[in-house]
Amino acid sequence: MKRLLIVSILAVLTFAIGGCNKGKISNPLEPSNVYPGPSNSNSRQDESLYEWLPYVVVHTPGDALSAYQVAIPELMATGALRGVRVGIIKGEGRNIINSWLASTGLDILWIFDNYFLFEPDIEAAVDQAMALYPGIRYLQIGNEATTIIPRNEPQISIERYMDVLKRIYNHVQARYSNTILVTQSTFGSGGHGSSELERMIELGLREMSPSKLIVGMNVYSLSTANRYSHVISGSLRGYRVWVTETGTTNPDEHIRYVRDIYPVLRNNLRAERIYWYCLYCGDSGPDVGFGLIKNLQGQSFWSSPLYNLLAGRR
Amino acid sequence: MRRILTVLILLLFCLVNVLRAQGQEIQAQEVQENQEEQEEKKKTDKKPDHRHQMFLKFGFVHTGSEIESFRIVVNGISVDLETYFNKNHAGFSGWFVGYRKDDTRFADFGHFINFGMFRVIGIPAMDLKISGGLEWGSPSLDFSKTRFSYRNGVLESYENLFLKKNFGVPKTEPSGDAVLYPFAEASILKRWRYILVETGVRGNIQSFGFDRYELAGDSLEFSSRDKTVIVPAVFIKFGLFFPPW
Repeated sequence: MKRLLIVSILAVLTFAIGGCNKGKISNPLEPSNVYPGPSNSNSRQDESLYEWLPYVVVHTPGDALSAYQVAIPELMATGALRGVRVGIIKGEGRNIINSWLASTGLDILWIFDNYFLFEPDIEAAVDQAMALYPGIRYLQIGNEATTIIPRNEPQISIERYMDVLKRIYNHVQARYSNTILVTQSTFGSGGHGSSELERMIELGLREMSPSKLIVGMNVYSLSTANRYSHVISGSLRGYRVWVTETGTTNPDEHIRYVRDIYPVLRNNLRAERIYWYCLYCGDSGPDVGFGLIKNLQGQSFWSSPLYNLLAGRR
Repeated sequence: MRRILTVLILLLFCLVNVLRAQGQEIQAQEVQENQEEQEEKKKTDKKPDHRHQMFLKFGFVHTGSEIESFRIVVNGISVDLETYFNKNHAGFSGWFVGYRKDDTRFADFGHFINFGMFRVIGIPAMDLKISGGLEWGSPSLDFSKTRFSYRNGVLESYENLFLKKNFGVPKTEPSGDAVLYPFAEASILKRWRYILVETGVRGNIQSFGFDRYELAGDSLEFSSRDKTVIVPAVFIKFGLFFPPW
């Protein structure tokens, strides 16, 4: 009798541990609910991608223009592209692709090139960039500024970067009050980026208004996202966050990456925007696999499964 | 008549002696029994106070809650080392240390260690166990949620719920990447000589931040509040006598 009682009670509690969630019995060994909402459906086929956010990083080599003039309108037509992130390169003048992009109606995040940051008269450099592309709404001050510059060239420390950022912030508030600044995107792998972001806070990032400054970051792994989440949920409560680069090098994994990782970035980093890196990353080198398109030949190009899905190509 | 009287007196004398002898015998027996009882009690009392029984337990933990309309579900596995005293000390029947891994798909986070004390109360056929302790670790990503609201494709507002980090992991950056919180458990357990089965509920007393961002174009309105809630979990654990030799 005692044994029967024990077995009965344990059986009932084991069932309870299995969980009864609004009528749906769940298994204690099933994956945790990291990915909420529609993205958690494994059975869904490739016909839709609810998790996608319509922002892409666009490199601007002049010979890509013809292909871009096919690809970008194609993505815009399906609603898969509303904004791009492009660079204003020091010494380049007005870039032909940038000019064309500005005419498309896309929401553009302009990157103020890292090399501008060494300018003694940084305010004049900002004026030049504003003159090149009038009406800049979002201006990002550098990208991975302390880590991306080749080792054989002058480097910028985070302390100096913050001095420059504050000067630019004050100048933009005085002369371009409609422009919103975005901080440099901190490094996207490992823990360097989150540590640097924490250092930026120590150096006065919070002296700048959250209405006028968006926090930018690149994120290429969940571990990195987790580290960033500690900072943005701690000292950076109240600041908007944009993930300005993410992606994976294997084109066959692009769709899965968007489905699995975008919701985590949205949930944990409260990322308003996520920019896919990138539309075209060249035809050789380590970044090729990130590209949604490659092998450009005039207006024809190879497109990845993610591109095909977004553009409605079947 | 005298003879009869003499015989009666002799009989009475004998009876009194017999009864007295029996009474002494009973008394002696009682004394002996008492002595034996006392010796037995002494032996029992002398049973080593600090001897104990130890179990290594393996378990499944399912945490589920709804906070500010966000559903939080976390599954994990646990390993505990649990010691039962032979008798209660300061009201406690034993102590435990444990490790829990939440969301086994990811190695970089979702690690917790805990320790605590418990009291076991005997109920028919099994024991009721009440525990309390502290847990420290790096939580999994499952505790952060954001809900975005769009109108005509334009982001209007969003709400962000997250577990507040109140502690750090030494020698790691960034700082403030861990949580420390108290918890309480109630469980029933059946303990045999070499194995143990336990199942119950736990309440983690955790602090969450809940922030709201409202955008009108690029103008931002931000509001925030913190709340401490009891996040419930259920668990089942299987223990083996430890060490097995």
